[in-house]
Amino acid sequence: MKDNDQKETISHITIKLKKDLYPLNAIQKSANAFKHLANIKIKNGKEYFIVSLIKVAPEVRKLIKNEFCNYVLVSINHEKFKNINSASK
Amino acid sequence: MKKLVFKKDKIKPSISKKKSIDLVFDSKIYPLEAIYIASYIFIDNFYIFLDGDPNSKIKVKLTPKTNNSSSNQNLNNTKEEFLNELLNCTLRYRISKENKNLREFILGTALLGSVGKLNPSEDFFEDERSLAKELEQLQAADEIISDENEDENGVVFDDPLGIAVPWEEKFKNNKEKTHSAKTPLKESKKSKK
Repeated sequence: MKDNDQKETISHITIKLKKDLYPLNAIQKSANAFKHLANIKIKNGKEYFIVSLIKVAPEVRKLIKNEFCNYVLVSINHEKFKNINSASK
Repeated sequence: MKKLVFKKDKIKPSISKKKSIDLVFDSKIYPLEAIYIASYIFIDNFYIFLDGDPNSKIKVKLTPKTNNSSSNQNLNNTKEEFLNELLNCTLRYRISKENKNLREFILGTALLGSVGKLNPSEDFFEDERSLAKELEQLQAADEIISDENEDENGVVFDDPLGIAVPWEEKFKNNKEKTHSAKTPLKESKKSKK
């Protein structure tokens, strides 16, 4: 996570997700899952998808950024490797 | 003769001051898909973030969710575990990729064999297209048959072996037999008297 690039205020969190690594479908799915915790906007940058979390619920402010990234990863895995993951740990 | 000197400065620490693990992988050795799978395995205890270029080098950052696992030793252990898991995932991914065609062929053969359409010893299918066509035709045929076998309520009923016999028919024959078997005995007793 590029901490320097991420402007964070109390009510506004920005996450930059590399386009080649994080597909838009997975980000949209995650945004839909997190919509009750914040207003989420996805912008299409040159190399990155820029996810803006606005009006974040105060109880999840510290966690939401990392949890959102994890959720996107899980979505990617569920879409791509339904069969392979079932055999893992 | 020159002495070999290892400079500590040249070894880059992979554990950052913020108590997280930063790893960089060459995508030619570790494919992106394997990194996804390995990350997924560690997602319960770590926050994972990916960055970099999937065509050259992929960066993975692991941040522990709890403070318990953020000691340097624990992080080192986790790093090693992640590397091992990544190797495991890479191998599994490569094997599944190499065997994809074979798996599909076996599954297709098994499906068609169960319908009785295909004798696996014969070379019915030269390529995947003909296999797909054959499957589609079979599906269409199945749909037609199921339409024919639907009763008034729309329930599909199919009994190719003739096993399903109504209760009355089945026991009607037995009753007749038992009845006919009892009557000659009575008649014979009467004749003896």
